[in-house]
Amino acid sequence: MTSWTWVFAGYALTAIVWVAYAISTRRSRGGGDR
Amino acid sequence: MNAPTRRRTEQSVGVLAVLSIAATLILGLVVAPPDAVQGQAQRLMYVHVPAALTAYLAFAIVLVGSVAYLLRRNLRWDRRAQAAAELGAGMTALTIVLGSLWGRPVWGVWWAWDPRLVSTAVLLLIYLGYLGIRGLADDPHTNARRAAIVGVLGFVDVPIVHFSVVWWRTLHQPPTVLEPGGSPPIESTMLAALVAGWVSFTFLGAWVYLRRIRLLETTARPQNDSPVLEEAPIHVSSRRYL
Repeated sequence: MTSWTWVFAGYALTAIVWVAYAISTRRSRGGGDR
Repeated sequence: MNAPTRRRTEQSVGVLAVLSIAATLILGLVVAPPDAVQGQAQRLMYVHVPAALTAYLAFAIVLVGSVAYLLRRNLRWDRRAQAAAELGAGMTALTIVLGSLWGRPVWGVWWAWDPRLVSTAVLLLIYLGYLGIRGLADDPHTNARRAAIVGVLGFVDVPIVHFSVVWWRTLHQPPTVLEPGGSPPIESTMLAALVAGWVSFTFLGAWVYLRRIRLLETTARPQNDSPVLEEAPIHVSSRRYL
């Protein structure tokens, strides 16, 4: 595997982790700030 | 902070996160040159190091929240510590995996029993333990007290992780940005990419943290006939056993 493969794998994993955090902290439907 | 102000703050932090992510990608993948020795694998440092620094910051927030809870016995502080621990544990795990992805092409191994790597793995276990201990008792104040003790004691590993490459002979390279001597030994465009990565992770972390706090406070509101007291009553805070 070339170095670029490892680089893109790492950046993709990073993006997945942040998207997972964003989804898990999404406001639940029906809830909200009062 | 009222709800509209909170929402505006989240949105502002989110916008700043997006802009800094764009800067990181451009600087890290295009502008910064490949390393003379590591080649393109060097570019993983622009996410690996920021993940580690974000974890440090998150655990510092856990420390502050834990101390504040132990002093004030108010669950607001516990929720802030919990949200920070969740972020920190994820960032620590990401740091380890990104380090492995870098280590495979550069060192030839996925893992080494090196002080920096081992102490970072211990850090992850400590904060997974912090999150796990929160679910053991029925009383939220008991859970918060136990977790706060772990949050305070566990922070001891953070300086051990950071200084492990200075105190012991390690395979892992010495600090660059937070180098004890002062001036970072790094080329300017690489430093710019690293700083952009740090800034983007900080804004992303703040954005996720604010959202998580909001969720925790929403679920903490009284839902049934037995509401949880935000402040621990005297008989809870004077318990002598854990």
